Amino acid sequence: MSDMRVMLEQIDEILRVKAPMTYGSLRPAARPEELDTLRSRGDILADVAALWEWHNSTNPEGSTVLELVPMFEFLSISAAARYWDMWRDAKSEFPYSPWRPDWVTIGANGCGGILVADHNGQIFLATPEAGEFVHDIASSPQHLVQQLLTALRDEKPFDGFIVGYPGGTLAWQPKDENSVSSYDRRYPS
Amino acid sequence: VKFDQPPARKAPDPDVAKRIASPPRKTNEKVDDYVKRTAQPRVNVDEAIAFAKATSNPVVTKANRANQMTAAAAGEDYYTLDECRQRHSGLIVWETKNVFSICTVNRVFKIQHRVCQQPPSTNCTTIGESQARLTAIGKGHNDSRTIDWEIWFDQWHLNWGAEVMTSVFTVLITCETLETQNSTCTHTPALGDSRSYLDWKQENTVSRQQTVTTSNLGNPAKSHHTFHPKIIATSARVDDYDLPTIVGRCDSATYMRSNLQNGCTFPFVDRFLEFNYAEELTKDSVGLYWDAMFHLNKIKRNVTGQFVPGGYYKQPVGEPNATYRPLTRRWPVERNDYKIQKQCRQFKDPYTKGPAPNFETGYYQCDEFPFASTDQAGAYNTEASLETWAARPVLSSHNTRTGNQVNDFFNNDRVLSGDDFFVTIINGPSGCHGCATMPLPAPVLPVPPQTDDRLGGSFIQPDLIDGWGSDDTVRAEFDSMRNLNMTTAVLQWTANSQDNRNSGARTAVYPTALPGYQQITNTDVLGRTLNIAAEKGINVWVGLQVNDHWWKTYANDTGWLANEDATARTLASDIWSKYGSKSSFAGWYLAFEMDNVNFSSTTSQDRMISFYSSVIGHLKQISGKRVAVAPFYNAVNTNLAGWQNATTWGAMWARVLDAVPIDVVALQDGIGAGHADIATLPTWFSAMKAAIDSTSSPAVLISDTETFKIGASGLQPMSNREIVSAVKAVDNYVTGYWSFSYNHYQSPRSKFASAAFHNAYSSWTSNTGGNGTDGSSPSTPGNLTALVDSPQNVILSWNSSSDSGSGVAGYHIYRNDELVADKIDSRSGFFDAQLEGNTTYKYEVRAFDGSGMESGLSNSVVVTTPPLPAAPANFARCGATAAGAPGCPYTLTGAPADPFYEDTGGRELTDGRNGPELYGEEWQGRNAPGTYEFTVDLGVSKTIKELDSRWFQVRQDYAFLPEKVEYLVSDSASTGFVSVGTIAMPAVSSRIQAKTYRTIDLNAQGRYVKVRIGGGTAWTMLDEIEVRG
Repeated sequence: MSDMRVMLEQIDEILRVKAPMTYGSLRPAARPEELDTLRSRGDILADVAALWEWHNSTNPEGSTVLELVPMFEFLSISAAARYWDMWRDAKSEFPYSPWRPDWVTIGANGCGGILVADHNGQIFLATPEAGEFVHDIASSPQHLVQQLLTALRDEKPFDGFIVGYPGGTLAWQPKDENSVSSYDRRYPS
Repeated sequence: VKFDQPPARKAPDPDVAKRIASPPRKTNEKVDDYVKRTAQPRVNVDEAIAFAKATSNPVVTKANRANQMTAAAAGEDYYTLDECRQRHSGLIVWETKNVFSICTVNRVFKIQHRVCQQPPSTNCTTIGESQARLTAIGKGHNDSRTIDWEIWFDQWHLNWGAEVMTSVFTVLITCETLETQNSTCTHTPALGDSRSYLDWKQENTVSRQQTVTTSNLGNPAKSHHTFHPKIIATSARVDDYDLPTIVGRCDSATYMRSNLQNGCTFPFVDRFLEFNYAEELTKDSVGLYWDAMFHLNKIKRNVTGQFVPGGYYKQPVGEPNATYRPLTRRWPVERNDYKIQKQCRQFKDPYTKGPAPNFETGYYQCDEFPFASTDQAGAYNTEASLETWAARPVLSSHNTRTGNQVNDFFNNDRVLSGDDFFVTIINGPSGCHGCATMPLPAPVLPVPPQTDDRLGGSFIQPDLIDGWGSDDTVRAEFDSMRNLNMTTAVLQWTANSQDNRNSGARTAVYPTALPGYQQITNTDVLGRTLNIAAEKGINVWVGLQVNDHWWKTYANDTGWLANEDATARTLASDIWSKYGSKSSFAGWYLAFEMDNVNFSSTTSQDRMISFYSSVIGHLKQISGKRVAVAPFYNAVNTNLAGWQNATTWGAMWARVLDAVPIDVVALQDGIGAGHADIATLPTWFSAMKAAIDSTSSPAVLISDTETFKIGASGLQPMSNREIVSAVKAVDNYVTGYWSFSYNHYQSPRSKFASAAFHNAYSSWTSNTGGNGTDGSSPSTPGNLTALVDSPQNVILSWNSSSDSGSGVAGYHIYRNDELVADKIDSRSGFFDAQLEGNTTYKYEVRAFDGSGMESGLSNSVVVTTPPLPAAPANFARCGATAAGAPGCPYTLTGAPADPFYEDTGGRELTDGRNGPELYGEEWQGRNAPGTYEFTVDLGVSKTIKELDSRWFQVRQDYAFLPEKVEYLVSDSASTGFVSVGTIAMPAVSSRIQAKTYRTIDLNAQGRYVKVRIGGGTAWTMLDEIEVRG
């Protein structure tokens, strides 16, 4: 079993014990044909695909979501495809958007920001208003999952947030409600 | 008209106008000498920009800009020659098109034709005059640190006389660098373009380029320059002429788009980010911006003004001191979507999902105005108030597009971090864009509004939860509350900054590293409460500290109050850092209750206003949570010094609420404490409601409904009939009800352990009709008998009653026709202690249930107690015989007597004087003393047969007999004390009376007698200690 898979299963176990509501909302792994809908738009690194082969996000009818990075909900395959299309359309209108076809949107914060894995496995946050500037999260999908696992298991801060489990759900709380994430690294053009 | 016309320009400062222009060239001064001499800054940047604003004509800035976002791209929207000339207003001023493009026209540029003697060249004769149209255009580059200047002459016309074709003049643009940093401004060609009159007339056009070079100091390496386009008479046959001085700015901002990292603009030109509401692909976001600017009160609750910055109009609208309030770009973009998401969730939760049946994630996004990339963004601008930002779910694709538009605008218009800009919307809707489809969500009240007279929450004290060692008991309690429709728990305190029950120490009910505090609970009461409340859906309002000294000092000691202010803030920060993430953390509760007796002076009120403002301001700053207070009043003892009636007390609260952002006023109804009766409740609650309504206070009024009463056995559960009566009496004034306290009195898990009160209330909550009784009376107790056990004790027995409704809650015990005890227990039997010897007593009992129904009276029984054993000498007098003469000395450990009821000279307790059954100097009193003790020194060891202490009860003043008195004896002053008797509070009627706690039949030997009193949280009053033998 790959390291990635081992860590994801550890996350499963933590959620099962500490956040049963969140755990219960997780959907099964994405089917291969579902992943193909995203692959038809561009290549996906194996470790990125592993996320959806773990769970295809959470039940859309539920009110509980899983945030892979604090504030950034884990998107389903179909939602990731829709985000790909939306940013591609914007790129056609705004040529200086930093978006590239190899950007795989694995999460979204519901405020316009997206959690992206690129073809190098870099994981970062992007938002239209920040243009070419992004906020780095992890150097690889494994690094992302490692950080998530550590945050959940050891209750360590992750990108300025601390995990909590109110009502059996996973919920991130900012260490400081006024702290910010800076989009200050120019994404290579 | 939603957006304004540009404001009228102020006249330029004459001093700046004088300094900013180039000095005139001296007679016969060479051009290069002139340029060198004048290439010095004469104004600063702010002066240059203000001068340019005052002397330019910005009308065209908006009127002719179809879309500045695209217009400003380098080279795409400069003034053309024709456009510039058409724009000419007749004034020789700089017309502005956008931040990159300005122009000016002098339609009557005149040239004097002169014939001069050689030498001197100044001896000239004018022989004619020509005129031409002079047109100048400035073009800032958006891809290099360059400003191009182009100058044309045309429309030549000989006004009179003859022309001198050999006259020579030079077109030159000089410039200076205004900053002190190492920037330079060079103009090419250095000496301008020099041609003869004939050449100018024939060619009529000249183009000049000025290149600005700045050393790369920091980011964005910004430099400002003043420019002076000039016509210089190289020969003496024409006059020098200066076009108006103008200012430009160049920068090398690395955060601009890769191909735009150098550029120049005219910084005095206002920037406009224009959106088109008619554009379908951005309509939802643009609609939000429109609504934020013009319909804020329809998309956000509790706003009182229209202060969202960014629109091109003066704010506050209609006010004389209104000003333009632009947005300011902020780089890097720093996002905090936490607060923004909260706002959006008010509209739709989960707000990101689409409609059924697919519930697509990401269908909506939360858009905000002002934009996240501005200083004014609500998310991270700590000064942002409700009126200054808005957020609402919009279609995701619309948000994505407008986000890109904003970023394009920043790059295309070269908006640097710190640059201001305005937002305009063309083709805006006639009304509110999204108010119909996404109406304002229902107000989120601090507590759910209640219309059914049911309790919505309950105060709970930490000792109770700590005593429930098992979390399962707490869970059961919270389950019970939810079943009774209660969703709020107020944890009454988390610390006591002077805990008299613990020798005045600072105590806490959670683990804390705050210096000086000791945790006195066995468990983390706060953590357990919040965690289990989160599981059970209970909202917890977290109380800060109490202080047992409060009831003695109120606001009279400013130093003490300041210390409590600091304590509250420190404590709150500690609590918030540890527990702020708990989802059940709904708000704060602040003790230090203002009553209608101790705050009649405006001085004391102002001190409390200051105290509340400081603490509540801090609570809101650190947590954003709401704050509740629970004031009370005494409507009964109207003769208390400082007593205010409901009207003046209401006015006092209006002062407080006007000044302090209190969110919940949970007004103690005072029924249980005996401070009010049902008939007077509306007077006091209406006064508080009027106080709230007369101010801009957001507070809601809650009834802090007392569910206890001062009964025959002290504080005991109130019947459901009494609760319902109190609730209904204030129904017209309150938003809801928080009990004090279901948990402590009605709950089967309270110390009374009776299910009957819970059953009665539970039954009523499911059908709130009637007066709260259940219609079922308990059966009459039968076969009452009394057994004399000793000179002090009688044992009563009877056949238990039954009740088919809420169940038997207990029995009233009557002695000599006085109610002396309420036994809260469905089982029969009563032990009547501390009776007098050789006395006849008559007994009867009556059963009652939890709803307020009572049985008939039992049969009567009469008994006589035998005499008490003889103990004629009082050793505590130490030989003194005259009443009032000092007796044996004694020491006090614990709470000192209150100054109003002091222990005069420290000898009152052994002076042989008993007090009357009314207040008098013989009585010494202590308020909320906790445990305290006296040690009497008899001087020599004595054989002790009886120990007495005499106590005074005035229940309506909260002066109770002590809960417990223990007597101990030793031959040593400090060690070896042996307990010889403990007296629990005896059964007495509620009338004002004195009662001796007597232990008899002793055979103790000792010199020292210790009297240890469990004083509790009420007043205790004592007049004498006797040691008899």
